[in-house]
Amino acid sequence: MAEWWFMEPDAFHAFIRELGERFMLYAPARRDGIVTFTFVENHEDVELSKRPFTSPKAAFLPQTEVLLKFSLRGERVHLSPAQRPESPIAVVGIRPCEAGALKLLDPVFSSPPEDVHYTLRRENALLVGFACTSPERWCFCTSLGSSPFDEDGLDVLLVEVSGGYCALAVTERGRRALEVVRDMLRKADEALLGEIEERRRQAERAMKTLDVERFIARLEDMGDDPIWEEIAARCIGCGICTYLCPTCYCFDIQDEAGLTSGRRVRVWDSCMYPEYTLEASGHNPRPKRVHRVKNRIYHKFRWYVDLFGLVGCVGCGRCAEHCPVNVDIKEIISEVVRR
Amino acid sequence: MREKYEPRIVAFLCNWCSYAAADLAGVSRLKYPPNLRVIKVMCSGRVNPLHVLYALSHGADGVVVAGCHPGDCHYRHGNYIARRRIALLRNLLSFVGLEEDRVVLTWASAAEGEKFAEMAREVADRVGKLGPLRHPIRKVETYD
Amino acid sequence: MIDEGRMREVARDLLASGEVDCVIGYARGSVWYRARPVAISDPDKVDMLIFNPFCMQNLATWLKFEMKENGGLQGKYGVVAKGCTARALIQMMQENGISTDDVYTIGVPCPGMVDPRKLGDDVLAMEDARVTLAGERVVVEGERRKVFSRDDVLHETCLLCRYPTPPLYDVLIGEGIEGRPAEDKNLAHLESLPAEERAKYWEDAFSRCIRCYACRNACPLCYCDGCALECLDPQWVYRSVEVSENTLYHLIRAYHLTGRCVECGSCEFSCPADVPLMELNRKMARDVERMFNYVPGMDPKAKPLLGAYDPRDPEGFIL
Repeated sequence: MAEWWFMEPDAFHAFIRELGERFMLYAPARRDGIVTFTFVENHEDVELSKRPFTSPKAAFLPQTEVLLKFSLRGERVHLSPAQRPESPIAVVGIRPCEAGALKLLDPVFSSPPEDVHYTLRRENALLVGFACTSPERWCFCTSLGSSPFDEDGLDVLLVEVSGGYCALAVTERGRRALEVVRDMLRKADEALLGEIEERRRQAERAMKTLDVERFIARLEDMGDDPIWEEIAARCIGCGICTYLCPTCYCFDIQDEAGLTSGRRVRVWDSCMYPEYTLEASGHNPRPKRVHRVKNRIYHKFRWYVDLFGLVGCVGCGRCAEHCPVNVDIKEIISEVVRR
Repeated sequence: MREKYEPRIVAFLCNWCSYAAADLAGVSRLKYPPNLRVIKVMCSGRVNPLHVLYALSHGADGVVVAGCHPGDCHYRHGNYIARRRIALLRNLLSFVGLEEDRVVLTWASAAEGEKFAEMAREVADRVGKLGPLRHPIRKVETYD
Repeated sequence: MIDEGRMREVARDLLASGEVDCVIGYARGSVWYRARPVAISDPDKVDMLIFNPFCMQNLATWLKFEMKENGGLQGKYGVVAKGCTARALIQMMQENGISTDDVYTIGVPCPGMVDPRKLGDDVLAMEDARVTLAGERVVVEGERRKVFSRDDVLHETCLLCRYPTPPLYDVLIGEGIEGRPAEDKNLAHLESLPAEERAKYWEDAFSRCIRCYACRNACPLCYCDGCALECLDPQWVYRSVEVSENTLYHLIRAYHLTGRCVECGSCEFSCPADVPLMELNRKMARDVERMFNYVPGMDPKAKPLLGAYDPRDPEGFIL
């Protein structure tokens, strides 16, 4: 069934409803006027029209995750580790770049010691992607080896077409998921295939290509360039870029406890905070914003490449879109290449 | 049989007046409900609203801040500072839908053992009537 | 609108004469509906300075980064200051955060800032555009021309602004503007709700918070050394992102700005999750004014509200 199937809105809703029966649904939904990725109880809440401000990484790496609870009873310490996340998750409406981002998180959490909470969620998950027919102005996925209709890493790819959606089963798992609503699907005809192709071309045409390869090469000898001071001068050091980034994975582990009981939690951390590198002695190896801004860029475009042979950015542009002081990664790439 | 609800109330008492008032109530064998958990501070002006918010988040159903009467502060004006702070804190709590009467500011001099006991009764009654704190600030699970 | 040429001239003279070491102003953003803060020390670079309806950030904030990273201010700063920016500077002076000699206030009367989100996706999709405020109208001229009513597209905090012109300045670019604040319907509505509904409203709002701390960091008056949030022992607020910790965080933030907030709206503007932070700030500001007849950021010699008292302060609530 490696072919396109057409589904009318009814079929689409039936599909999501069926997924909701068998998976925990994680999808974009509107909460008080703002669209965010979240676990949805009611399939009718799923809203694909607008890209959520958050990325879907939290489905696999929750911002807050209890690892274990502990209590002191008499002379003994009782530990109760969190249960393994066995229930499968279906992420609906994940964009191709975000699926690519998960592939960047995988080596981090699956290399030894394996993080079973992450890998279990990941192995059991179904990714129903949503092609970007109108990319945001901040997007640049085509400069990073992906594209608005990229099916890589997805199980199903949905494309919005006139009168409904077209679905492509990318993997066997995706095929089985679509099988459930098989009766409501019909094979996409030539006209629909033409429309998908046209939309793909339009979306790709809308995106400017940046020379990321050259950018990465230039970083080699740009460590002391004044450009980092210029960018950092306006940075307010908040966690927006890292928290919204689909590929940032840093976390901290903290104990929240009273005198005799408590819990150990894993929480997202951000390299943009001064406390991130603050050492117990009081020394901070990255004391200024310039060090931290530079680290964020270098980590994604150099250190990650050195570690895993992959570029740690997928070009979703969220960091730029939501930065309150307009630190724009696309602009940084073009500027460094130009200099 | 359901156990009677016993409110948990954290009481910040100033070293010079209110704590002595509590002491006097004790040595005078005055009866008052045991709901107050006393924390001695040097002055009511030392109580940071953060302490009050933290207490409410971590399990207190009510908070009392008690200091010397106006004009009698050991540090001259600590209680006046507390008065501004708590007034505004109560407004903030009310605005986010938390009953402001759970946060009480009161004055008790070292001679006012009876007044202190009466206050303790009144606060326990007031918070008891409001019931357990149900507000988003309250942690789902608190740790002993 | 502001005479940008005059503003640049002033900045150039200040830098060239050595009166200031650095000018903090606004520069064009990477897209037409964003402006960004810039620090200029070279008089030849003042042409970067702009003032358009997207200059939302409060530039007083950048002094705190200088202070934190360099152990104090290094020299004298010229700051391009809207009414709210100047008030933040004055408030910092009042609190001895900075001294009057540290800054040179380049005052700009501010007609209010446009909230790009209110322009709509179709307008934001334009490749390039120029936006001007003309009386009651906001005109967007790009591939298409679109006219909005000021009331529909300005940030709420700007519509409610009472002090568009700096109360104090070293130089004022152009003529001062009188404040003409709109009625604060949102606050009145919230205050009229039953307590449970207010609790629900804030629970929803705080649940959206991702605790990126952009609101704290963008705030010119959140400049404490050793923020309560960074304290690990005792850890007042856990890093766990859940509604109780988020609520605790936001109430602490709101309280720490009580009697200090100059209502610039930088926190709300920076929030990626649309938490209505200014509603908390405004509530406290109105109460402060009503109860203590105090408005922050007006007089560098006034006493900070919560560091002072009046024997006649309200006491009806005392048990």
